[in-house]
Amino acid sequence: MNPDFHYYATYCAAVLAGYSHEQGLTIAYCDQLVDLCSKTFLSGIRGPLSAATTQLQLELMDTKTDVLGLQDITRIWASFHFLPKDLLADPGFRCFKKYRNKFRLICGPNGELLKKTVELAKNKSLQAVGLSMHILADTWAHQHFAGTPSMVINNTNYYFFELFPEGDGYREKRLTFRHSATTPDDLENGIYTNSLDTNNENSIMNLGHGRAGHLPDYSFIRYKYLPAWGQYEVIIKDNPSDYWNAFCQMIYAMKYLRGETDLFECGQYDRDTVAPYEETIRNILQKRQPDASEDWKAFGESLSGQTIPPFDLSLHQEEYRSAQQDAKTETFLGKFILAALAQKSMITREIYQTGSKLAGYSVDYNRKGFIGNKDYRQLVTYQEEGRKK
Amino acid sequence: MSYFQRVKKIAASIFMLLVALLLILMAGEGYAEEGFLTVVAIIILYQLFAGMSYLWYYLSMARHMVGGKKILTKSVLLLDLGLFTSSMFQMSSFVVVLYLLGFYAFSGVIDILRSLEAKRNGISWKLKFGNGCIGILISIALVVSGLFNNQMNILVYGYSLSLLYAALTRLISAFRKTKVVYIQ
Repeated sequence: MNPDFHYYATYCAAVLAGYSHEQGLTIAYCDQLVDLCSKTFLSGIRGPLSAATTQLQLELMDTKTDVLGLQDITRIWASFHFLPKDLLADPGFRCFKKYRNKFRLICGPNGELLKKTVELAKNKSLQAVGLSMHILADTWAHQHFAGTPSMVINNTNYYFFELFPEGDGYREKRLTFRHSATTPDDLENGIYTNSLDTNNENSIMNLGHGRAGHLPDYSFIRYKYLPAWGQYEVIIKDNPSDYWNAFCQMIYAMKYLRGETDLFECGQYDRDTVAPYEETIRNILQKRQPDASEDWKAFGESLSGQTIPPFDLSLHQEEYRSAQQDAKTETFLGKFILAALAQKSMITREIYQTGSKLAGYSVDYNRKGFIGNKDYRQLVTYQEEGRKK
Repeated sequence: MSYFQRVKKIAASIFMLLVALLLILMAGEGYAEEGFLTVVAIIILYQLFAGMSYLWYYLSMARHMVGGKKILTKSVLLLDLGLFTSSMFQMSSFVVVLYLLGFYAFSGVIDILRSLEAKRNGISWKLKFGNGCIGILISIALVVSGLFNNQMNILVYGYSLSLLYAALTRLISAFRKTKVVYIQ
């Protein structure tokens, strides 16, 4: 997903869920920040590097794909962008544990981890709400791909067709891919950029949906393809429908986080609240454009009657940098960092408990005390202070 | 290219440089044949190890993947090539040299094909294309000069120089800035 959905559409969903304009902006800002909070960004504000929620192109180029490097990549991408749908999933045939562990990281909506992610943000900061909304939305856009480098899971081949609704069915048009990082996608002629085809299982080219290019990030597109893990079964991806579900589920989740409902259940969508705006939203989602920010912005401003400022990455940096060490967690970015650490800690734990070391080792503080990465000290301190209160 | 890949590439280049220098020294001392047999042994070990690695990868993971047979094909080809290369030990040294030069020319052809693919994709291709052309030209020149003069030393020196050239271009490419497509 792109900033159009993570920033502007999230703002719209937040306002529809009952949040004020200012609260909606905070939630939207943190939703978008998940795509920008890299180790480079954290170094710039002197924040804990373990709170990174993404990796930039240059960072990935310098990341070793040895065991530790792969664990770092998996912790980031599985926790924030490719939330696994079912950590106990069975491929349906006899296979090695090594294969099964990767298969279980395939992302999808309405999984048990989504429920835990949303529940983790309950009674926390608005930053935690924004972060969890990013993860929720990505479970729809990034489904069928895993947040770990893997050729056997994330690879695709030449079989790619765009589907155009026509009558009762679809008209098909073959899509082609190129590997030029600097050339924008050619939507008219169906030529898209994707990552290189390699024979290396752990190459970063095989991370997430790189092999399918930006297709999962465009709300308007419908296409079919053969995923590497799918035993030659074609997958039809209907992005307008998925994005619509994501939007309705975000409203449902945020109403729960606001305390309007007591329970968050998977597979539930707040369609009633959105009903008066359904046509507008569906039109935005289906409009053939690489960036729908302007349309979402106009819709958001019509909802709240307020102006939505453009996303500014530098907005809260000085506040965090100049804060005293013990007061950093009270700053805007400090709260976001806490939410990121909590999410990463929870997902690493869940993956580790299935016997997989793909995301690294998890140590239970309550049983063994603090023997882990020192960056998580502030999370432990925060949790303990919360318990005392 | 990751930091680790860069280090691997530099290490491989240094190893190739050392082998080339060793071959030149051995040819100077009159041990040209033994030098070539050492190179063949290294190539055999590499091909067999790579073939086995791919076979294991196919059996443990890639057999479940759409298009996974390409991994199996690659492993079988590498193993087959390794076994074929090992049979070179029983041939005359002239055949061994011809095989090595043929191997070198073949890698030149692959370089050209890969560079053309890179050109189609809009990424840098000239260095690889030049490498491929030079590799093929050197191989042909050495075979022709070796056949005409029937001198083993010319072939050894020629092969060592081509190896030196390949090592140096590899070393240069290890320091090159590379574009990596990454989709978020």
